[in-house]
Formats: sequence, C-alpha cells, structure tokens
Amino acid sequence: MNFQEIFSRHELNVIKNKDALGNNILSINKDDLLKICELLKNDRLFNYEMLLAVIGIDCSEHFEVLYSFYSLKNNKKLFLKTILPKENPCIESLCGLYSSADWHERECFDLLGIEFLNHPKLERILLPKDWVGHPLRKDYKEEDERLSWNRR
Amino acid sequence: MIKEELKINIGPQHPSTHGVLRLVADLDGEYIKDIEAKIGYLHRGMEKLAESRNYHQYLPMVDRIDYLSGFFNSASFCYAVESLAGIEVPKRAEYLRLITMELNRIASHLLWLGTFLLDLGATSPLFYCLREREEIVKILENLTGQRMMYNYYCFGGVRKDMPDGWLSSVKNFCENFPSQIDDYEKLITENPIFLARTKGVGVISAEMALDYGITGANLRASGVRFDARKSMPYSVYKDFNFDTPTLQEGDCYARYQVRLLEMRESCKLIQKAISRIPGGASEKLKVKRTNCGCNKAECAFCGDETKIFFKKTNPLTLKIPPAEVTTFIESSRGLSTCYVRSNGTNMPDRVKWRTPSFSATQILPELCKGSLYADIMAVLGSLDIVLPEVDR
Repeated sequence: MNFQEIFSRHELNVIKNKDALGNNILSINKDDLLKICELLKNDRLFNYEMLLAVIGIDCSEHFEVLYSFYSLKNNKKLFLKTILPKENPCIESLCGLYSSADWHERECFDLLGIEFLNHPKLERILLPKDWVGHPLRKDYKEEDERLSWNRR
Repeated sequence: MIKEELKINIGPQHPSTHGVLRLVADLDGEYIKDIEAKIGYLHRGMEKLAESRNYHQYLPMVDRIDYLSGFFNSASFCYAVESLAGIEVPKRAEYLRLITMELNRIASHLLWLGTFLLDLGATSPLFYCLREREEIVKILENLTGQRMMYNYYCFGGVRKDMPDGWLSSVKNFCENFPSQIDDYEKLITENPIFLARTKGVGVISAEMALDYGITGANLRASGVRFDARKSMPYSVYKDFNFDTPTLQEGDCYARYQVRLLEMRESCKLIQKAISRIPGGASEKLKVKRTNCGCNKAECAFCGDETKIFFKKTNPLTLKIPPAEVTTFIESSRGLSTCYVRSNGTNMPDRVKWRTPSFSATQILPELCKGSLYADIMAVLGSLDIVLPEVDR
C-alpha cells in the first residue's frame, strides 16, 4: 500500500519515518489529524479499526502526541505523530471516530495538560480533581503541600 | 410507592473490584440506568518515576504494574530496551522467557477463575484454583527466588540458569494440569447457577470491542481471532504451532470458556518448548556485551573500554542513542504495549504503558447499562481487570 499517493490525492502532507522495530511513523500536521484519521479508519485500503493508545510526550521545546493504530485485516501497525507548541497545546479529539480515544485523551490531558478540542468530558482521570499542575511535563515541580509528608 | 432514582456508590474498597475501583451507579429499582467508573486510586506514577531512574533501576519496578503477571511487563520493557540498544537475546534465554511467560499466564488465569467464581458466590473453586496456582508459584519461586515480583529478565537474557530438576518439575505440572482443568469443568461449566449468571450477560459485539480497543481473551470471546503471539510474533513464538481459541458469543460465559481453552493451549506450548529448549552452559543465558555496530574505539557500546572492562550491559554504560520504539506483548489480559523513548543518557526520556485493563475498564459502563445490579460483578469479574494495571 502506498501512503504517499493516497494522502497526496487528498492534499495532505505526510512524512514517513521508521522506529527501531521498523514500524511506520507518519509525521502529520495537527490540523489534518481528523481528516487523516477518517481516511485511516474508513478507507478500505487502510482499515485501521483499532486505536490502541494516545501517547503524549514532552520534548522540552514542544509537545508530541503519538497515536498508535492497528489494522486487524491487514495486520499492520501505524503511528501518527503530531507536534504541538509549548504554549497552549491543543488538538482535535478523536472521540467521534474511536471510543477508546476518550480515556486515553483524558489521561494525556491529566498528566501533560494537552487540551483535546470537542472532547465530551475532558477531566482529570488518574489524579484527584484538585491537583495542581501536570506531572509528566519536564518543568513540573512537586509543590503540593499535601506531599509534605514525603519530605520528612 | 416512591419512584425515584437512587445513586449508589460501589467501592473503592469493595471485595469484588479486585483492587480499588469506584463505580457510581444510577439505579432505577434493580436496573442500572447509568454507571460511571472512577479510577486513579492506585496511581503510583510509574511513567513519571521512569524519568528519574536509569534503565536497570526501572526494571524491577516494572513487575509491579501488573502484579499477577509480572513477567509480561518485564518482557515488554526488556524487548523495548533491547531493540533500542541492538541487543540480541540468546536462544536459550528466549526459550526460558517463553516457558516462564506461559506459566505466568496459567497462574494469572487460575487466580482469575477462582476470584470470578467467588464474585458469583461460588466459594469452593477458589481453593482448587489456588491449589494449582500454588504449584506454579512454587515452580517460579524455585527459579527466580520470588513468588510474584520476579525481576528475572534482564537486558539481553535472563538473570540465572535453571536449578537442577526444574524442567522436570515443570514437565510434571504440565502432565497433571489438563486433568485438573477437566475437574474445574465438571464443577463449573454445566452448573445451572453459573449458566444463569453468565449466559447472555455483558455481551460485547466484535465492532464494539474493536472500537474500544479491547484485546486478549475478551476480544477472542467476541469472535475476533487476534493474538499478538501469532500476528506480531516476539520471542520464539513463531517457531511454535499453537491454537488461538476463539468463540462467537461475546458474553461472560464465552470469556470463561476462552480462558479455560487458553490454559490448555499454554500447557501444550510449555511442553513443546521444554522438548526443544537448546542446551548449553549458563553463560549462554546473557549477552556479555552490547554492540551498536559502529566499532569505533570511543563508542559507549562497542568501544575498547566496554570490551575490556564492562562485559555485561552495565547500568553506567548502557546509554542508548536517541530513538523511540513500541513493543507489543500479548499479556494474560490482552495486548500490552510499552513505548520507550531514549535520549542518549542512561535514563529513559519517556516510558508509556498501554495496558489492556485500561480499555477493559472503559467499556464497563457500556456493558452494564440496562442490566440488573447483580450483573455488575459478573461483568466486571469476567473482564479480568487488575486495578494497578489500570492506574499504573
């Protein structure tokens, strides 16, 4: 299957890379995300029916969000990589396409503070509601006074 | 008669939730109108802790992510680091990994079977299941020195060789075990109460399962033949022929049957692996030095200094060049993936765990809507979730 041809037909810019195990990582523009995911899910050639994980990464200069897809029919794995700015990182939610995106995106918001637009219920999921800050950010410091017992 | 909705709080400390899961249910009489799962009570920040530890320091912690099947998490992280550093694992170590992983799968399924039936009100199967599980736990304790948190795998192999007579004890277990599964089947499979509680309860359709990212036995019970051991083989699984039991119904009963069949299949797989395990000295269990292939004298992996002084994969010298990788492992609960991103130091930049229980918990409200209150525990038990794995 040729990614480039199909994506260029829909006027989408995609850069293809490989990870250490030889899986495809497509770097995409964050505005194209919904279009590309619709293509990936519904196009007969791709047929990526499973969204396995939404991985948020803090790269100190910018944020990265990595989407992990799997296609049962073709037995193929695919990763989509989007780059978000450090200030006010936000990206379209995939909840309308994949139900599994719901909790994965909430976790990403909880731990990294990346905002998912049009998410039905964007709340903290792992940490308590009154937690200050987003722990997986590199510049996060533990300043919560409830953790004072930790420093005894 | 007063007709109003009742909001009821189940958990976090509830014996049937296998950890600390809180469910907030809206009840209309005995029927559930809506249910919400609240997680996070067991969040230990496993991903944050990885940032401040080097690879060797993080490895023992990884077992704690899912305490009932620690080998799978270890394997997931080890394969990730090995593929990043370009370490190849010796065949004998791979076979040992396969045998221990399959033993762990049986142990985990046995505990699931016992507690699932306990949730449904049947007390005696728990004792039979724990009796067999104890045998496995003892076998693994003989090998690793630990009952649950094994810390047995290391980068480039396994920590130590088998003790004398270990393989024959595994063989003995595998010979006796199928007849013990027959005993469970006699006790449970045809039991009218069990059938009434599980047949047609909590049905997951194939589309729904894929949409929610359900994997493992839960997915295979819904008629989708997906097994990471077959479709994306790791370790030495591609050398073996084994069956992936698949059923069509998708209810609690099908999930029970799939897991029983899986235990039988794992048992056969162990026997095959034992008959084929390559011999050799215990030096063949570990990679003595890593090699990135550049062969430059100043390189941290294959330079002269490493060759002479640091023969093993040393915590100080294991500095992995910037790269990223995701490994896919079929754990006892489903597809468990580990994303590792290295940055050139001896600490990982980011580790992300995608655990099967996380997705299985997410589907719970969808399954429980409109059913009876008593069915919550049947559905929750049949999904085989372990809360530390959900919260990490």
